[in-house]
Amino acid sequence: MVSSSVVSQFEDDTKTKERFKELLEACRSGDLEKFEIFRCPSTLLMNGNVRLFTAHVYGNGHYTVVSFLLENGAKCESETFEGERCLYGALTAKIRGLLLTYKFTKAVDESQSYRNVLARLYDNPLEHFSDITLKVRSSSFPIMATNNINYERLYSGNIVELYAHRFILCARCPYFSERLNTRNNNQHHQFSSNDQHHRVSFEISQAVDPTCFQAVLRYIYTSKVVQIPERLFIKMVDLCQLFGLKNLRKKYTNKSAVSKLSTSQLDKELQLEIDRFSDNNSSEHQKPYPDMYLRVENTLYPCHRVMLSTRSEYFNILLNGPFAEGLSKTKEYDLPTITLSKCTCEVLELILEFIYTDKCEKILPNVAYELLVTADMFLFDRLKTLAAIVLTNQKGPIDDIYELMRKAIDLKIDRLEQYCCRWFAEHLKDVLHDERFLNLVKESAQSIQNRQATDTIPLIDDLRYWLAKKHREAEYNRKLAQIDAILEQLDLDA
Amino acid sequence: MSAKRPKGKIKVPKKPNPTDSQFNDNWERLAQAIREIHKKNASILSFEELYRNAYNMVLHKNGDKLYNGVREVITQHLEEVAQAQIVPAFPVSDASTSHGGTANGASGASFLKVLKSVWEDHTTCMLMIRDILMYMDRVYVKTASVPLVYDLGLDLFRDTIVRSPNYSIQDHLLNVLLQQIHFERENDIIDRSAVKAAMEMLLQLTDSPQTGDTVYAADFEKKFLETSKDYYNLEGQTLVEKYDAPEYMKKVEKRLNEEEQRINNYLSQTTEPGIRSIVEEQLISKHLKTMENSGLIPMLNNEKMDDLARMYKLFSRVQQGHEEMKSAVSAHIRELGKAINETVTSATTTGEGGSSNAGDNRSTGTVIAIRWVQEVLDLKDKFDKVLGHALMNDKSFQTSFNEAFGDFINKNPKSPEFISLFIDENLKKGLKGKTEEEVDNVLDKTLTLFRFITEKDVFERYYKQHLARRLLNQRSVSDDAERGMIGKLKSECGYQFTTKLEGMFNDMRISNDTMVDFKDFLDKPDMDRPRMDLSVTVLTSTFWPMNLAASPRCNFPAEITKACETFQKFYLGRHSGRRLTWQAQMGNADIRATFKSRKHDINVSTCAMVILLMFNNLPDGQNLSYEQIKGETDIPEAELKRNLQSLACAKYKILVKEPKSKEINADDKFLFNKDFSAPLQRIKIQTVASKIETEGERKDTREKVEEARKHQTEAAIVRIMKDRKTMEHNNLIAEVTRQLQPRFVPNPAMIKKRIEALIDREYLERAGDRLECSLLSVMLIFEFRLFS
Repeated sequence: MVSSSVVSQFEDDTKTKERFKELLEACRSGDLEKFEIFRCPSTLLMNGNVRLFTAHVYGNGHYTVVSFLLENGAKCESETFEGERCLYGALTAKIRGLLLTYKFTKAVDESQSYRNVLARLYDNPLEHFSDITLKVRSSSFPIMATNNINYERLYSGNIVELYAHRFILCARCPYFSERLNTRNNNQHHQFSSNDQHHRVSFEISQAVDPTCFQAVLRYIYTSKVVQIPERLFIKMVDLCQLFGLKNLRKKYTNKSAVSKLSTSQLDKELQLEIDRFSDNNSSEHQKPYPDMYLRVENTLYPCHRVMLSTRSEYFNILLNGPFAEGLSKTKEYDLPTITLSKCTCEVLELILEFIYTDKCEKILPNVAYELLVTADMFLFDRLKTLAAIVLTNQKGPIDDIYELMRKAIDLKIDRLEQYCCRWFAEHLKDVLHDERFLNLVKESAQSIQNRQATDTIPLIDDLRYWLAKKHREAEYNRKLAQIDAILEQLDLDA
Repeated sequence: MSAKRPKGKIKVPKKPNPTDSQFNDNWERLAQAIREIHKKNASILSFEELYRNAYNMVLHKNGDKLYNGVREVITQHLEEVAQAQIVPAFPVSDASTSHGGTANGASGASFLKVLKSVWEDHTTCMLMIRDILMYMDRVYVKTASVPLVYDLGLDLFRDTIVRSPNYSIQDHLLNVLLQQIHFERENDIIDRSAVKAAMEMLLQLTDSPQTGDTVYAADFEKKFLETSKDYYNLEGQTLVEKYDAPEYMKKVEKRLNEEEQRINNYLSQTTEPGIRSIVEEQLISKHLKTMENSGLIPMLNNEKMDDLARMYKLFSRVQQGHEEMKSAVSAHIRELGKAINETVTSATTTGEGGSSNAGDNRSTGTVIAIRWVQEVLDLKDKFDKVLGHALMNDKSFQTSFNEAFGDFINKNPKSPEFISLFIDENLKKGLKGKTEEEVDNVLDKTLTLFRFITEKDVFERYYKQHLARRLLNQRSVSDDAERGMIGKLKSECGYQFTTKLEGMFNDMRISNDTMVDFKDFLDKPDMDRPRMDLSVTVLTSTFWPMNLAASPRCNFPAEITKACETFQKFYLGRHSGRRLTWQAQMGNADIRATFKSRKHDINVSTCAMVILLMFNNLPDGQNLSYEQIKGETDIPEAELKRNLQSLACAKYKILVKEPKSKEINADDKFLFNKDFSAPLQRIKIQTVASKIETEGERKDTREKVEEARKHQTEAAIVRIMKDRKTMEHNNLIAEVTRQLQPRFVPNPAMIKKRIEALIDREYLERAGDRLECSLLSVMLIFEFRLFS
């Protein structure tokens, strides 16, 4: 069941459309693996719309597919139209049960943390290295029930001060991007001894309604569209026009859709030009307003402390902690610099991309392994998964399957483990007598603590599973016999 | 792990085999780093490097060694700290000052401060150590089911310092804490922040993973509660001896507040229920009775609302508290009520046993009745106030008060009569000049008393009598008030109660109309007008509380008889099928009497009039003897004597009696007193209308009431049986009681007798254990009802 309305969402990208159709095919046939393959970075875009799949999956009644979708972020919310539709259409009681229980458990919505971070930045800019003060004039500042209230507002005359981050404003809003970059002379620089960076103040013109401005600011940060009184709709639309926020403007011209959350926009646009530049072009690196550098292999990467600190615990301690790096005064070009000693440029670039945009689309296979390891070290779980996906999407494994396998077990990457196992299953006759393989089997056996004489060996179990999937009975039994022979040789029983 | 940049073919970097020396190196660096952290030198350490060291170790499957190593280093450090910093800070036990001299308190406080700084250092360091070992926490800890690094740090602190096996830190700590609390209880100032810090530390340490309790709960709380219990035990006894109830309660309140504050300030909220119940038990529960005995009654008497309210609040904390208080107060009410009852009985006995002047008796009797009612009302007011101000209108208290009131009111057998008299008095004079609201108020209050009476039918009887007298003598001060009262009674008891009362009212009204018509009747041309102005009030016999049969006789003189006949003719012409009986003992007459000096208009009772008229035809100076008068008028003795008394022995002596005495005897002689004079033109001679009954009259009323009750019981029984057809004996009694309760509470023995009587009369039948109602009785039931 393919709904045309769903397809139309992706009319801007025909290639995506095709992939999408294939995806739906996979859905319908319940082919989980194929489905997984489609979860490559470009279709991750559809994360937010994965829930739509659920609605269409119910025609299949494939439990595994549904559970996979749920585990990866599809939402079946009870209060929404789609959610109810899903529930209604669940073909088996089992699926319905699954949908219901997933309502209550925290489905791992992995981009949730990303959005949370952005929300936090919006709510408490002062605690997060805000570097710009926006002054809004108002005759009476109607307080929207937001969390902006916790910081101080200085009412001097009729001016209210809001705090923000320049890089976010520039990245997300063409108006600011233009204004802040060109009107250097109109900005007032304040040096505050506490902050390590400049504070700039910027005045918003009087024509702008404060409520609208606040709503726009919120949208800039979190992509959330909030309710505002109807009488302000027109002003809102004008403001969006002024700021160049087309999507937001669309939302407000279509009044009924005002309260929906739309995340996809954010992901796409918050692509900051954290760029790969290896030179010190000073005028260029004004643009994203960095406040620190990371040095890797003699290349400087400008970054923002905000993003690094809030998105990663490791970087948070590194930058702000009580240890040497956090307290160091090393500076390059007037900005504090921290050196990462065991990291390559490519990997760092991917990591930065992930930090800023919660996506990582350009993982090349040859970097994937390194990225995997580094992501694990820096405790980026999701990035780890993304790297693993790239690895497992390869037709054939990269060079050393055994290392790969060991890494998969060590780092507990199930997907990679299965991938390797499958490869073993397919090339069984080749590896069966390879000593390295036998070592693996032994290690696997030892990994079970307190193993009995006759007990499971995880590796063998998985092998058997994949063999069963691949071969028909006779063939399967033959292969099994071979395995048993090997086991005997090793003096193991499984 | 070096990062290579492969070109072309992808190569997985080969993992170098971990060598022992590399491991040792890594570990050494980490151990050293931890030591530096402990020395507060974190700023010289490279986070990146240390993190990577730990990461490598975990990756090479040395997570366990790392973990254990960390544990050792920390333990060692803590041991050193314990020895170097804590032990020297042990408080000096100063035996000379027993009651918390500042020396002792101060050394204890400084010990706590040292402990606090050690703890804070430790937690800060642990955070940094945790930062470095983040990877291990994420990856190794879960699989190995060991606590996280930070929690490990807490456990180590607990085991090495707080519960140190080598030094008696724990003892000292607990002692100091308890001591500080003790000082504060004795009104010394202590360093609260130090104590609070120690408590917080204890709260963060868990006792063991199974119980999930904190060390606070396991080590400190128990001891705290124990010592508190002892402390308050002693305190309770001391206070109780020193202070009386109101003061004691204030102290208790203070203690309770103090402990609550302590909880808020530096103890954990979890201890709150425990300490509160200890204080409540030791100070309140144990001394409930003492508090009551030493103060409750004076508090009530003096209306110390604050104290009572405090007592109420304190007692509410304790399970038995309110019960005790309720019963004590109720007992007191009963005492007071009993006293009120006794003043009455003593007064009436002295009153009645005394003089023969029935008139005086009766008026003092009324006074007594009114006083009784007033006192009860005052008592009720007082306790209502207590209920409102001090007891927060607690319903259960109100119920028990009501019970107490009901009890003593019903113990006084004359209470229905008294209440009726009270109302009577008010309706006659007392309410004059009061606004409608005040009137309402007084009547309402009386009604509340009325509710307490169980023998409501006795009240009804008296009320009827009094009402009859009021109506006939036109003594009622306000018709509205009367009707108001009846309305209230109606809403209280149902219409049956008040039909007759209303009937009486109606009779009066109708009589007025009848008189108007009678006057017109008399104006007819060929009417033989009687020589006097006749005014007749026609009473429907069933409504009015008098016995038809017992209406006393009286021989009217001729002219009077004639007048009566005229009226009778008139009346019977209008209404057929009625029978009129003249009531000579009621009614009065205005006589114009000519004395030597002047004429007077005298108002006398009908009988008295008849007597006086006899003197009309007498020649001067001649007297009439008692016997003569009796013979001629045919008035019964008691009545005759009363009237003669009022004429000859009272204030206005119209007749002269020989011999002069207060009593009327059979051989007395009476003479018209032509020398009589009085200041006013119009005189009224009261015929001692009985207000309060003599014993005989009371017995009479009682009998009548009993009679009526018998009938009502039987009616109830028959009604129930007709409905149910068969019923068990006990159930029948219960049901009868239930139905009759609004009027009076029937005696089960009496009910049983009635049932027997009905069985005799073949209304009911026994069937085995049950009673059956046979159909034979259906007809008879209706007949039966008519007469009841």
